[in-house]
Amino acid sequence: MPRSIRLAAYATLLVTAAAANGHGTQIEGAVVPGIRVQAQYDTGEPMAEAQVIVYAPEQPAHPWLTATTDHAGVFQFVPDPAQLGTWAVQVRQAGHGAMLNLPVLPTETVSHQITVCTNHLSRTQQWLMALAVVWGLIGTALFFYRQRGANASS
Amino acid sequence: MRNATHPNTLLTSTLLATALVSSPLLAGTLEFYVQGEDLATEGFQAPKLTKDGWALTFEQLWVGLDQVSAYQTNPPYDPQQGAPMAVIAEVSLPEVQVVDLVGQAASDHRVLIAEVEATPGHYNAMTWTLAPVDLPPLNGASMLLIGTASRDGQTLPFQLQTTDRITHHCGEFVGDERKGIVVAGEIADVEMTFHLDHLFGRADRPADGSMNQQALGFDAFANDQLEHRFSVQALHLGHVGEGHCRVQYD
Repeated sequence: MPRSIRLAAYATLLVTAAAANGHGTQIEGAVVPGIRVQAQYDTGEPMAEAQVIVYAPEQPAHPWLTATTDHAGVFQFVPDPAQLGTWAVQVRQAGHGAMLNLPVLPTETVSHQITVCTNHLSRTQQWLMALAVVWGLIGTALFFYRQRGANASS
Repeated sequence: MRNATHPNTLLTSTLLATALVSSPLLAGTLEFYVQGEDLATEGFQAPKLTKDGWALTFEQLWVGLDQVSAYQTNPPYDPQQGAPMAVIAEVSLPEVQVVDLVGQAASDHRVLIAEVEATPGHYNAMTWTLAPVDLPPLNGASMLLIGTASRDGQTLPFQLQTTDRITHHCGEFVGDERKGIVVAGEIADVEMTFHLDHLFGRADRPADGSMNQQALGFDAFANDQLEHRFSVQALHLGHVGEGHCRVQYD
């Protein structure tokens, strides 16, 4: 069977660190969610040192990141959390390649905020609704008042 | 008297909406290309000889293409998973295409076979069939290769063909640039790609690699073992760039 490519992605936590300039060294770390891609041929052979191109949802035609896999065919990155949608990772080597599409969804916190916005009314919306109800009551009263006046005059 | 929406107003609105949707400003163009890469236009030349050491030059390389379609799919179609395509939009070519991957190729090895107006979006999947065509020059074949082979001072003209009918279900193009993203008023393209090294193998690739293990090479044709006919089953010639396709043999 011809060699084909398997890409697998795993959500993972990555530790990022930044070093400051100067004589001393300062390291800051943060644990952030990231994506780990494992690229291998269907023979099980890892795609070592393969070309990687990452495309972000907001500019899908332009590479967001280019890199290479390590000796085990592994590549990992942290997507921009502001860009929700489908991230695409392309891995190529020696005339063979594959594209992996990874949906990056809102975090639970963001999702909760969206749910709150769609299920509850804001203060302005509540005032507008109250005004509409009052205006409807006034209109109904005026309608019956006018009808009664018309009947009395006839 | 209260105003009601006049039927003419509704009709006018509908016509306006229809005109806007069908306006070229809201549609883009999708170009369909096919190619056999440099191995078709330049042949198998050192160091890219066949796996058994033959140099090949193609004068003509005809393919029959039927039921060619490009799709916007969501989730994006993955040929390795094989789940049905979730199609959002589709662009299809109405006619069978008979293409010479050598004689009609541009300098980038590609042949433009159609330009079609397309709804904007990402055409990230394709289906197409390598199909026998009764008309000349295929005369019932789906693929016809005419050329010359040479090795160790021996030169052999050849005419090879297959009558196999194979449908390809492909995901997104894989290559130097991302393809198939149609923007209103602009042009994008999709591509069907034939990998001839899957048929003849490559001397500059590992002999024990799966591609060379499966490829037929040219010795079998040179000694008339195959009577100049071959089957592409299990060879996986059809790709989208470097991306593999799921194949179905009819």
